[in-house]
Amino acid sequence: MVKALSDTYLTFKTIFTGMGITLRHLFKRSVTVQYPRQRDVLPERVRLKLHVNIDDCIGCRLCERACPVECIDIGTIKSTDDDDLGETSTGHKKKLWVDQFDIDMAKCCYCELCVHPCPTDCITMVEDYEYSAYDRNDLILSFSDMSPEQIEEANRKLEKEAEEKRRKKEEAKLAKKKKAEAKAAAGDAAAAGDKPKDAATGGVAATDGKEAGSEKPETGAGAEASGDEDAEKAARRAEREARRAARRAEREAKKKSEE
Amino acid sequence: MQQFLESFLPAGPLVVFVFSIIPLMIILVYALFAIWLERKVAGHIQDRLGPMETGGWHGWAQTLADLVKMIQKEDIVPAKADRFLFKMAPFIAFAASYGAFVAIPFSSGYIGSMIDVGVFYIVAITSLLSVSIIMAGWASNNKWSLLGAMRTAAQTVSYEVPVVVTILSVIIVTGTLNLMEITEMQTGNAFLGFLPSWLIFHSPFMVIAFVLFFIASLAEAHRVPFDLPESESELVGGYQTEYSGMRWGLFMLTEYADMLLLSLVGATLFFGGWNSPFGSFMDGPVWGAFWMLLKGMVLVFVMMWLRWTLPRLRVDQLMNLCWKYLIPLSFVNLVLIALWEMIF
Repeated sequence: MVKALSDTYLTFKTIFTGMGITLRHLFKRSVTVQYPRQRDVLPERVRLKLHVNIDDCIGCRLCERACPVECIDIGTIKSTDDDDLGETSTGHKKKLWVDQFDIDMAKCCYCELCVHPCPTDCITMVEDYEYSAYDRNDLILSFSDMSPEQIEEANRKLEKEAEEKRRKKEEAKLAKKKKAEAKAAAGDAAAAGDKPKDAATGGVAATDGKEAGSEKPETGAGAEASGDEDAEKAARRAEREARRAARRAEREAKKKSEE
Repeated sequence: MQQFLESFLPAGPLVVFVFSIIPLMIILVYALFAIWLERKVAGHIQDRLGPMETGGWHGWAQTLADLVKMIQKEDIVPAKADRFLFKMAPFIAFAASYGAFVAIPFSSGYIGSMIDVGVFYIVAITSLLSVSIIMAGWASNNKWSLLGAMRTAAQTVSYEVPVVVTILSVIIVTGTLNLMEITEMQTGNAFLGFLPSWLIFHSPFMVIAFVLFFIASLAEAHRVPFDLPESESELVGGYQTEYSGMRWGLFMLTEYADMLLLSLVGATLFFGGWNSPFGSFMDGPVWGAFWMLLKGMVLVFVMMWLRWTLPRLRVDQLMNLCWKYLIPLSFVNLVLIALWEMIF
């Protein structure tokens, strides 16, 4: 009986305590943020989306190298001497066309490691978190502002310049050779006139010059190295182009299949 | 009321029809409002906002949108179900709770039927609800449904006893079963000069009677903490498991209609029904309907408030509470009220 009464008392006491708490909460300000219309104030250093100010990019690829998940894909073309790409806002001279600056936000792990190495502070985290997409490829952000025509133009110019340089080098070498030959000939003539011993050395020099001359038509040792580099770069570019084309084709195919 | 309707409608079946669907209109509008209110109360108690979008102002049209959605839904009947019983159950459930509104005096000018056994009739016809729930549970041919239905049967049979006994203790005071007469007895400010002469102020035991009645009516309406028949978290909705679309909607409507019914009965028996709390101020048939529904809604709100405060009881706790506490208490209270009536 006593237990029953004390139980009853306890029941009502706890119920009224609970009801008091719920009543207090009923009139408390709710914590809901009516999202599309209201937004939370974001912390100062949020890491939500990468943004590149392409005007400031010097194509140094430091960010690409810093990225632990390799989500940044940069392609550059050397600018020719007659092109002036200007300076970045931080005063760095721009020497490379940046024909590709793709960041795959689907791969990105938001570590912000790419932001700090940038010498011109052109890659930054911005406060945009509403960029979800239906297609994974739509999360690849392309920042390069170069049109395909411009890229082609830059490539062509570079090739032309390389050609020109090669030709100039050849010419220079040829001129050098001629000079040497002329010198040797002069030496020969002098030796013939002076000492037979000298003639022997002159002959050696002449053969040397001939050897150098025979090498030259094959673009010479130094030129050959730079040519290799060029080829490598061209291969890389081709590979990139192929990748891009494949991606584009894939995207289009997907779009078509969706339709 | 009937004369009023006859003054502008052709006499005959139409008047009777309009007369009899008035409670239905009240229930439907109330259900739309109450379901919205329930969501709002739930939301704000949990520091949320509840529906905010549909209809503009604080999501007032949310229930309307849900209703439209439910009407569009496919009417699914499980292959192994007893088709006839399965389809009938929601209608019987709603008919049971709607039928009880006949004896409720909504205002001094409107009561469905002036039957002399009013309260008794209400108690009797609401029992039909448990029949329909058992029908639904059995016909669904599903263990969750059947378990839920059996819990309902046990619960309803148990909790009808304290409900009836507390009502009986009120009847001792009033001497009549007719709810209209009970309400008329509570007109005026008799107690201590200023308190309205509602039965809750009649004696301290009436307060106890009301508390007991309210607890038992929560169980009758299958509301938390006594919502074991439905118990979404354990029984996947109990007897409602196999129902979808508008048939499920009818069960939902029944639940809310039942809440209103028991709140109105409570308001009539203890809080003076359609009587104004300010004596003759704001009195009359129209104000009467307003006060009646306001009192009902306050009790409905308390039910919602409790729902978001208390956890659900276990089956054994439910039976324990009923047979070991509520029934003995209500009987003792009955005797005390009878003694009070004899002495004063």
